[in-house]
Amino acid sequence: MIPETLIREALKNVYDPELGVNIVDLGLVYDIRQDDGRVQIEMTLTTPGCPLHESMFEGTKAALSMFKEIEDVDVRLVWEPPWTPDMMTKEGREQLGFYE
Amino acid sequence: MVTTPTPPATPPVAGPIGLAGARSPALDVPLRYMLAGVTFFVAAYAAAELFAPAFLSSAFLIPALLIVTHLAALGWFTMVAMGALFQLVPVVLEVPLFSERLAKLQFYVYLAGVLGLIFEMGWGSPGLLAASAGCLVVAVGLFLYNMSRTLPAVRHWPITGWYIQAALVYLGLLVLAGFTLALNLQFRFLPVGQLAFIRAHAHLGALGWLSMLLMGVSYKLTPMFALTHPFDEWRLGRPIFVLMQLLIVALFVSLLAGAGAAILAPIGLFAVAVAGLFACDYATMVRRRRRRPIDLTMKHNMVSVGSLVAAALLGTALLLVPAGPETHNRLILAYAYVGLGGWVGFAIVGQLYKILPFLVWTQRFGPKMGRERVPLLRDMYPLRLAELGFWLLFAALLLTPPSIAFGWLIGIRAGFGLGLAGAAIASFNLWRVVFR
Repeated sequence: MIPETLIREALKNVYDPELGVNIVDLGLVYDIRQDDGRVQIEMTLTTPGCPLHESMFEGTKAALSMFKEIEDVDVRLVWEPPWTPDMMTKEGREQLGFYE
Repeated sequence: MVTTPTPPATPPVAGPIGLAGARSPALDVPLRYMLAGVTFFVAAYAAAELFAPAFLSSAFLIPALLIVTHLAALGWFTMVAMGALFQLVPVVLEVPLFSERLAKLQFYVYLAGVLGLIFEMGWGSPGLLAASAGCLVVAVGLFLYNMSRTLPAVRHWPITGWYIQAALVYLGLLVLAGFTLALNLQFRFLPVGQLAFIRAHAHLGALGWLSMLLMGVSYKLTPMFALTHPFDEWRLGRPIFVLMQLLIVALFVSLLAGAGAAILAPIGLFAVAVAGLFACDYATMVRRRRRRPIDLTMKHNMVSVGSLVAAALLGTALLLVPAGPETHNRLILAYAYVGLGGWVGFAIVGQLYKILPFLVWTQRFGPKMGRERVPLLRDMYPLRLAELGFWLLFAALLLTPPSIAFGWLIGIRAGFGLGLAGAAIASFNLWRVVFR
């Protein structure tokens, strides 16, 4: 098992190229599960029909390929609960010049 | 005709990852339309600068004005709009395009039609007119066929989808009306004045096709890029949709019938109200944004929405304020410039600064995401130059309409010169993105 903090740190290499904020600080990663070399990431997008979904999903897989222990990455797209800007971390808000 | 839009009953369902990306068309499908469109953008301003004295003419149906308006309406606006729809329909409505091959073929037919038409207007060749008009009808027919085979697969209709659907219906009617207009020019079989028909046709295109599309796209892209929250796009988006249908039909029929100010003025006031309502909703999107900086696209869109309200006011004032025939004609041209150059032109440039870098980024840098540091979308073009382009176009928008209205040729030349410089910068920047 890889500590979840390490996985989250690796996922910070994946970012929204429009906003310039990574998917962890954007609050897009809802859940991370590990089972015998298999990692399942449950994540959402800022809006349905987000044009960058494919790049983000493939980037998520690529970012986790640095771990030799991980054999397979399954990225699942969910819409519940719907993402809101309130889900961003403090760092994400600061990077974005956020209106509170 | 289009019915009242309703929100989807259920939220979009989660889907397997691989399928999501497969919906986007190949990069070169929308790209060719957009790049051709931004080139026509420069050509339209260059022609306007070249033929500046024509904007003081008391006649509308003169080659110089026809060339400028068709370069803008067909080459610039409609070319980009079709390219954007080839990209946005699959992504926003989550449905694959029926045929990419048809979309590519359509491009060449449409391009031939636009170039032929412009050549005919400048150098006069009746045979070429028929062939060019035929190309345009066939190309738009192919486009509508492609869309009509694509849209039935849509499962969840966002408000943007309703606006797009309506815009496509009006595009079909626009082509039919244009074709009838061309036939009537030749055979004079309709009991309506040519100028009345042209005004009705122009408003059908500006409001039905372009405005419905721009409003719909705005309801998707503005909250998405500005991180607007909370925002219910259905609350005013739906009544505005219905009001727009009433406005477009009432205006088209009244203009076609050659109605006077007694009928057109209330319709004008109605247009001011609808434009104001949309401006209020846009202002809500901006006010509730969580992303603090006002970026380049938002600047363009703010000018665009302001121009929509200004054009509605100017159009109504034209009906209410007494003016001599020459002044009246110049005011009509100023009104057309605010409506098309301001509302439509600024919206298109602003959205292109998002859409085009995204398309190229996805192709070129998307596969590198997570493996190495990749540029942001705003790094895809020189931002300072783009800002300069915005201010030049804005200066053109402020200077040109009053210069046309007051018959001040130096001001018209200076305004179109500023516009040409702004268009050249935007076009250069957007072409440059492709080679990033």
